[in-house]
Amino acid sequence: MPDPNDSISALTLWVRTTPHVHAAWLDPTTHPATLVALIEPRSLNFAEHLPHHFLNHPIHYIEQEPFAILHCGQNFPAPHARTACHNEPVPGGVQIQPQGANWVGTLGCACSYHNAAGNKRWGILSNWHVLKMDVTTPNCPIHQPLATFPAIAHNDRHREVSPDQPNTFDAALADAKIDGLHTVGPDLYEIGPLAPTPSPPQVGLAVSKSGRTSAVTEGRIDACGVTVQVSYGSFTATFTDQCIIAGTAGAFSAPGDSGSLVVTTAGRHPVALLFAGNDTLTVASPLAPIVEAFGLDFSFPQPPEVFAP
Amino acid sequence: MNMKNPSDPTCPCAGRRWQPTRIQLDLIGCLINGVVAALPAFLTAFLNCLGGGDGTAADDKYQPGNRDRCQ
Repeated sequence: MPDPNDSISALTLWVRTTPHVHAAWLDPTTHPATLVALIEPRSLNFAEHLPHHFLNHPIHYIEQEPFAILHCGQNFPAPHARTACHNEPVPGGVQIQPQGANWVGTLGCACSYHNAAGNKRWGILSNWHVLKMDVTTPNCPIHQPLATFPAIAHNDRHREVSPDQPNTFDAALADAKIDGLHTVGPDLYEIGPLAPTPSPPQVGLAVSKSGRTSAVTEGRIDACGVTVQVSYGSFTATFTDQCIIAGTAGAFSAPGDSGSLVVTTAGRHPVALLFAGNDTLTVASPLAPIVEAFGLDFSFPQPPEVFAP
Repeated sequence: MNMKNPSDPTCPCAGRRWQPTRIQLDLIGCLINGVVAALPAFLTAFLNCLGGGDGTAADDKYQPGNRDRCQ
């Protein structure tokens, strides 16, 4: 029985080096467990050149477009309410833009976290490639919906996505305290208030998200423990232990939905952070490593202490 | 003890300028390095102040704003 860590490393290496393969995971429901591999369309014409086994697992190939991050230009079509300015407390699921950026993405949710000094702060969770990638200004202001509107937060923490080493998430946090008050609240737009306790992702789990472009969509987790390659434009990054989500009525996500929080359809418990996809499937990172890295907490005081002017 | 005023021309140190010793040079170097090292943190805190945030302090109490930010 191989060491699970060894098989993860071996799988990562296999995905990175097998031509035209861009994602793979072990399906434990079959015996022996099958390796499901997503391969670029039309690559199966050359099936005789493809390996039939990974370690001792038979391989099942599925043609699928490669995955890319899901930010977009500000003119990419979206429902008006998602690209409009929202008054405080700003909900999750609406458009945000870092100052000086030529892209937009989605405000995932409000939460508390630990800053670099280990102190608790309240802020917004979204993707590294939405809040930080290519942004050089320290503590860059994050605006909603566009940089021409007042800032709702300032970049604080992130973990850079590596093009060389396997990654586990694409996440960043911005401090949402402006002039002594927090700009964001616990609601996800058109979904409602977030439940405070995260749920671990499981195959078959019914999930929802509230995003800038495709608004509220519902889907199902198709696979967990996925090793996947994602295009960031100027480089390709490998992620391990990701979730693949399929929409129940059309695509679960679209360009501009990057940063959306994936929640359980029943109960609105946080499950994963959406960051990539193609026309049919969505890639999201389980929250546990993000919670651990940044000390996230999704609980809010009950009832919220509303500021009296 | 036989003390002499430095302004006294018979004093051996008269007319000489202070020359830092090796240890004093090291101390000055440390001081300059410390200031240079602290500069980024100071600038970050300063930018935070400009941006309205208070940066690194603990922020234990959630205080939602209700400001109209869309005018």
